[in-house]
Amino acid sequence: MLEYALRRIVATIPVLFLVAVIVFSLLYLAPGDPAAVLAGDQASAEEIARFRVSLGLDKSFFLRFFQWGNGVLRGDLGVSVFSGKTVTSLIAQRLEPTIALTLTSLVVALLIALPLGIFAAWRPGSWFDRAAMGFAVLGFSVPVFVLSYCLVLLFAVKLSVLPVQGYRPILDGIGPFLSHLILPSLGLGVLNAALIARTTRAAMLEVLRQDYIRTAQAKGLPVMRILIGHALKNAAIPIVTIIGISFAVLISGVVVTETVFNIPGVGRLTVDAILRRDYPVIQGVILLFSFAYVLLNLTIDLSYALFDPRIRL
Amino acid sequence: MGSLKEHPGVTVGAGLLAAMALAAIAAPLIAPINPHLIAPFERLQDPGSRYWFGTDQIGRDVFSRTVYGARVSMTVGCVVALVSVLAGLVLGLLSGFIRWVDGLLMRMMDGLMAIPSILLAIALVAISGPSIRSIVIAITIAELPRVTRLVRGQVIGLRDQLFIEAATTAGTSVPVILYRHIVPNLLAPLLVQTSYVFAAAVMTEAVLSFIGAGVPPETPSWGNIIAEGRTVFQLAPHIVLFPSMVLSVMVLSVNILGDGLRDAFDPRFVGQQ
Repeated sequence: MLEYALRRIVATIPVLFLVAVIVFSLLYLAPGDPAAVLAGDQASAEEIARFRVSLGLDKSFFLRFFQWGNGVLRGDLGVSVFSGKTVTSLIAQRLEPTIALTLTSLVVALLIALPLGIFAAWRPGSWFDRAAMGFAVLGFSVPVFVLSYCLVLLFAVKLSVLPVQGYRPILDGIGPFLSHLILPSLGLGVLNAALIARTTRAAMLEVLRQDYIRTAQAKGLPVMRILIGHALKNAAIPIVTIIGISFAVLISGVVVTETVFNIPGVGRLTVDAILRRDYPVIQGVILLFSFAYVLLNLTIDLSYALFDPRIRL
Repeated sequence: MGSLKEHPGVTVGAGLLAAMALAAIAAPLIAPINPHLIAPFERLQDPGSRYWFGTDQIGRDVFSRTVYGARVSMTVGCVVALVSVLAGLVLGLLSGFIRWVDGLLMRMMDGLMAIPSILLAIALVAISGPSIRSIVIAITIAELPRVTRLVRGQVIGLRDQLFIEAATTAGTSVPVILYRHIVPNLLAPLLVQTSYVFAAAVMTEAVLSFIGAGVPPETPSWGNIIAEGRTVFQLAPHIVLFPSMVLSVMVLSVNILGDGLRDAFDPRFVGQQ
């Protein structure tokens, strides 16, 4: 088990390094002069030159990468061109709403996807299965902002039972905190559920064909015990894997959802940075999200040992 | 593979997509009003017989803008799908057949795949400026690793087949083996993948335009129209809802087409996914 964990951790280091190289190199991929693009159409030659110095584009690629990488290792992601504050402090201020939205959306996605996938696989070809998979195809096809606006129109504008937008920290009380998160989490979670439901069904179908499931049925075990105790446990690896992969969808969705619901999180910070052409912030956020994605998938890889004892050997 | 007509997903998806493509091509004939025409006295009109999808906050016809918006989505979807599938095919073939290239390319693809595709596209558009060209390049780079990995996986599976070994033993050159024996076997999975890349490109373009990192605001695109309607959503939800519905129908039709093609080419998938 320890050898497996060490092997996986060591294999993650080059991926993190590659992500850092790619995120850093993006600025150098721009056609023409990136300093001129980021300074904007109205910028004078002096302003462009100042931008070039502030972004370090006047130094060699390797020297700049070394300095930047050294900073990243110490938690220094650079300084915002717009506000003059450090990118790390800007991200830290916005982290709470993003974490809250991501976690609640994941909970919503799992609460919808697991029952849908499990029961669709229990009776393949039934009306429930068809409806569940129809929902999954629809979920892939409806952009997150479309569903979010439909939810806002129904629950906030027409029925006036939930707030249209905004965010309340958990310290303001659990009621306002949750009421502001219900619609964004539903919008983001429902679409993510489509991906997880489809994989859950496929993984469960595979397991439900096994002999030991037939034996459990022959023994007269209750359906729920067969599905949850026997089948789901053995179908866990692909399901957990897709939850990890769906984190990328969730991250992309967070950027959009925070814009729709005016939530002051890291996603909103990214959008503001795009509008202000604040590249150090964009770079910092992308690096943070990508590292989080890689590390989450590493955790999921390590969790395989919990579900499949053979991996521990 | 059975007849494509036996798979309703292919017929329905292709039919809807063809209708949208026709609408995009014939936009000047279908759109009743110039999509850029500002009519201050007609602003925020509800949908009706004159303005089918209503008007926006400066009086522009939302239906005409939505029809013209299909042009942007179709262009981005088609170009991204074509370029990323062709580039992914070349890279995947090289990776599957040349071992030192494989190590190098796959590590690069690992790095690219670790960055969520929308964020990668956002960064690329941010540094190259908002235009359809930079969006196409950004989404292509973000989609490329998935196509390359698919082709590489298929090539590795085919490489050890007897008919390839026979061709190698008979002295057939690598380019000929690739062209005559490998590529024809890749066409079916690539066609399915093309539809998924198309859907992803349309969706990503809309998201980029919606958050202000997409096509310039003066160009009517579905993401732009929805973003502009956001500010008056409570007063005039039609500005957001109509283009949203059309966008969803387009992505849905491509996904149905992709699933139908997958079922048609590989019957093992029928009823599985």
